[in-house]
Amino acid sequence: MATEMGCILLEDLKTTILSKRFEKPLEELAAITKGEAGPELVAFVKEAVTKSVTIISVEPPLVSTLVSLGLPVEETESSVLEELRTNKTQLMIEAGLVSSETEAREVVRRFALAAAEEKLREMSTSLDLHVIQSIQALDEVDKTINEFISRLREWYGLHFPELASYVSDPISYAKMTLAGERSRITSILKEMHLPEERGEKIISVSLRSKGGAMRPEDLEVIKTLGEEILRLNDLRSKLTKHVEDTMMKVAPNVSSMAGATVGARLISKAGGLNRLAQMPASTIQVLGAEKALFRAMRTGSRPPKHGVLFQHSEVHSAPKWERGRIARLIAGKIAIAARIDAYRGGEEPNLAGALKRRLEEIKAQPRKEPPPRKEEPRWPRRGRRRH
Amino acid sequence: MEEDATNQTIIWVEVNHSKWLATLSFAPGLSVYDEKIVKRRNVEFRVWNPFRSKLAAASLKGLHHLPLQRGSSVLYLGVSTGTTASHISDIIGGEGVLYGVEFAPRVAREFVEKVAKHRSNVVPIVEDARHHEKYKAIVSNVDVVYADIAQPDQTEISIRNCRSYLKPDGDMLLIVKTPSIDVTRSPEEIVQSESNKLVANDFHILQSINLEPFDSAHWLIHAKMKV
Repeated sequence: MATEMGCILLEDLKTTILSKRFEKPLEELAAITKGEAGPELVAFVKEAVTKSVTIISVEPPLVSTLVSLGLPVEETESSVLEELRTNKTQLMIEAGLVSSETEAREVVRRFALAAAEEKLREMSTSLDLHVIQSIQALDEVDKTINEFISRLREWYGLHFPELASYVSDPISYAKMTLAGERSRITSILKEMHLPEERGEKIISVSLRSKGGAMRPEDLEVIKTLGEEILRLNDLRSKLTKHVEDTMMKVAPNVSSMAGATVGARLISKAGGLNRLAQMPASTIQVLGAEKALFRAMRTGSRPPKHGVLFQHSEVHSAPKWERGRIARLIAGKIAIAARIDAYRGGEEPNLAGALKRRLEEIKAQPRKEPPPRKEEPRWPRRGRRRH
Repeated sequence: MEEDATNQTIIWVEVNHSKWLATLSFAPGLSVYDEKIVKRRNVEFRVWNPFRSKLAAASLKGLHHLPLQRGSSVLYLGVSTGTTASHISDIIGGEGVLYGVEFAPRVAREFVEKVAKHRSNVVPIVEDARHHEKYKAIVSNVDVVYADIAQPDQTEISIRNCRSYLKPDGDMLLIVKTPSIDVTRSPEEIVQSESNKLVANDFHILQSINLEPFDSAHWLIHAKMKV
C-alpha cells in the first residue's frame, strides 16, 4: 500500500515484508492520484517482486500503469482497501515508516498542508483569473470616469454652463476644461481639430455666457480634475486592450461569439472559464440578471430575457420583442464556445459562421410587434413568497 | 459554562457590558478574524461571535448538546476562511483533529494561511466535497461531520461524506441555507424535506434550530447516524 510516507508490502494484510520511505512523497502521491506510478513506487514494486511473491495487489488506479511495465499486479478489492485505510496509522508504525501515532498524524498534516499550498499555487496561475480582475478593473474605471465627469460638468458649469449642452462626448468636454478661463477656449478648440462651424459656435456662446467669474485657484483645481479624467481614459483603453488580448489567449471562441468584454464579463460572473463551460446555455443567457431571475422564480412573474448578454451588440440593437430569442441563440453558441475553450482549445472556425447564419435567418423573418402586455402575470405564481 | 473556569474550553466572558461565548485559544496570540482576545487567569480565550459563526449562533439558540469536546475528530465540509473551524480547533485541542475541506481557492488560501498553518490539529484539504474519495488518503474516520456548503444538493453531499468517514453513532451538524436549495419554497418546508432525506438515509434527527436573528434563512440540523 502507498501512504504519505512511503510504500508497504504486506503479506495477508498483516505482516510487513518490505517497506520504504519516499524521498519525495509529494511528487509520488501526486502521480498516484493521477493514476500514474512515480519512479520510487516503480522501484519499490520491482524490489517487491524479488521477495518471492507471486502476485502483488495494489490500489486500483495503479494497476494499468504497473501492468504495462510487465509487473505482476492485480487490483485490491475495495473492502480490503477500506480495511487498510482504517488501520493505516497502525500499519505505518509497524512497518517502521513512523515511530508513533502522533508522528503519523503530524506527517499526514504536513503532507496535506504542502499539497494544499501546491494546489492553491497552481489554481492561482490560471489566466482566466486575470480576465476576471481586468474586466472588473475596467468596469470600476468606467464608473469612476462617469462620476468624475458629472462632477466636472457641474463644477465647470458654474463658469461656463452652456458648454455642456454643446459637447456631449465626456472626453472632449474634459479636454476643453483644460483651457481654464472660458475666454481662452479658442486655442484648445484648435488643438482638438473640431469642425470649424462647431468651434465657432462654442466660441460665440462663450462670449455671451451667463456663467460667473472664477478665481484662478478654482480653475486650476478643475483643470487638474480634467487632466485626471484624461489619464483615467488612457488607463481605460489600456485595460480594454488587455482584456481583448487575454481573452484571445484564454477564450478565443467565447470572444468571437460574445465579443471580448462581454465574454470577459460572463467569465467573471460565472467565476472562471471552467465554470462557464459547465453552465447550461439557459443559465448563461441570464447571467448578471440574478435578481430578476430569482424574483421571477419566487413570484411567477416573467423571467428575464438577458443579463450581461444585453450588452451584446446583436441583442441590444434588436427590437425589444426579438431580444429574447437572439439572446437565447447567442447563449447557446457561447455555451458551446466556452466548452471548446475550456476543454479543447484552439479556434473553431465553424462556430462564427453558424451564429451568423442563424442571426440572418432571424432577421429575414422579423416578427411583428406584439400587442401591449396585460398587467396580470401570465403564469400562476409558483410557490410561496419568502418572508 | 461559567466565567473564570480554567478547565473549560468554552466559557462566558463579559466584553463591553455584554456576555459572549469564548473558546480557549489553541494558538495563543493569534486572532483569526479580528475577534477579541481576553485573558482569564493568564489563559487566552477568543470571543466567539455568533454573527460570524453559525455554530456559536446555534449554541446560543439552544443547541442541547454540542457534540464537540477535547480530542474529538471532525470533518468540516465548506470550511471557508476558517472562522468557525478555528473555534472548533480551540475546543478539540491538541488530541483532536479537524479536516477542513474547501474548494474555492480565494477563501481556501485564507484558511491555510490564517488557520491551518498555525494549528497542529487542523488539516487543510483543497478538494470538492462532492468527490469525497479524493481525500480518502488523508482523512481517517471522525466523530463529527460538520457541513456548511451552500449547494442545492448539500444534504446528499453531506450524507455521502458521512457514509465514508463518520464513525458509527457519530454526529452530523448540517447547516441548511434554504435559499441555496430552492428559493420558491418556504424555509420551514425545506428544512422538513432535508430532514426527511436524512431520516430516509438512516439518520435520526436530534434537533433543528433556526439561526435567526444571527443568520436569516439558515438552520442547523443536528443528526446522528444510526449504528
